[in-house]
Amino acid sequence: MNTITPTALERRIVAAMPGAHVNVTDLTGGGDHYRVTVVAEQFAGKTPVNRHRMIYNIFKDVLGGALHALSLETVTPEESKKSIDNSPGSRSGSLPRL
Amino acid sequence: MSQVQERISQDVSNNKVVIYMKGTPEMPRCGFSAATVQVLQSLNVPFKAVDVLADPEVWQGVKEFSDWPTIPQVFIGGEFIGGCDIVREMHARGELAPLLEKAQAHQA
Repeated sequence: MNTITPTALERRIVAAMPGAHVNVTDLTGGGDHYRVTVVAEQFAGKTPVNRHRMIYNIFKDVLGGALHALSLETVTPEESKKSIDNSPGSRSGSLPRL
Repeated sequence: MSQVQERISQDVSNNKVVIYMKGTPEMPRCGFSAATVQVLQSLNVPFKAVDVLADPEVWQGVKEFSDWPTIPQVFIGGEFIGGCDIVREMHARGELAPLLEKAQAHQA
C-alpha cells in the first residue's frame, strides 16, 4: 500500500505555505494516520474551517487514499506563543484511540 | 440539486444538530467519529446521527455538500461547523455550548 512519509507531508505543507512550522506525529505507526500541527502566518484572520481547508487542499490527491486520517492543529505564531503553557494535548483532550 | 444533496440539505436544516459519522453513536467505527460523538453527548443535546458507512451516496454527498474531505462532520443550526479537531477545540474553549443554545432558541 502507498503511504506518505512525515517528511513528505512536511515538505508539501512548507512548499504551499512558505515559512510554516510543521510538526508531524504518526498516530498509528502505519504511515496513514497523522496528527499535524502547523504554525503559520497565513492562518491569521481565517476561521478554523478555512484553515483546515487550506491544509486539506494541499493533500487533495491522497486524502482518503494513502492518507486515511489527518488530525490538524492550525495556529498562527501569535496563537502558538499564547498556548505554550497549554499543550495541544491538554487543550483538546486526548486523541482518539485508532 | 441532486436527490442526495437535497436530502442532506433537509436533514441539516430540520435538525438542530447533525453528525455524519462512521458507525453509530452506540457503535462508532472510527476513533475520530467516536471522539466527536462523545463531545455532543457530553453537551446533553439531542442530535441526529447519520452513518455514512450505511449509505455510500450520502458519504460522498456530504463531502461535496460541505466541501470537506473527511468524516465526521458536524452541522449546527444548518451550518457546517467542522470535523473532529474543530469540534473538540471549540468544546475545550467553551464555544460549542453557546452555539447550541443559539441554534435551539432560533428553531424553538
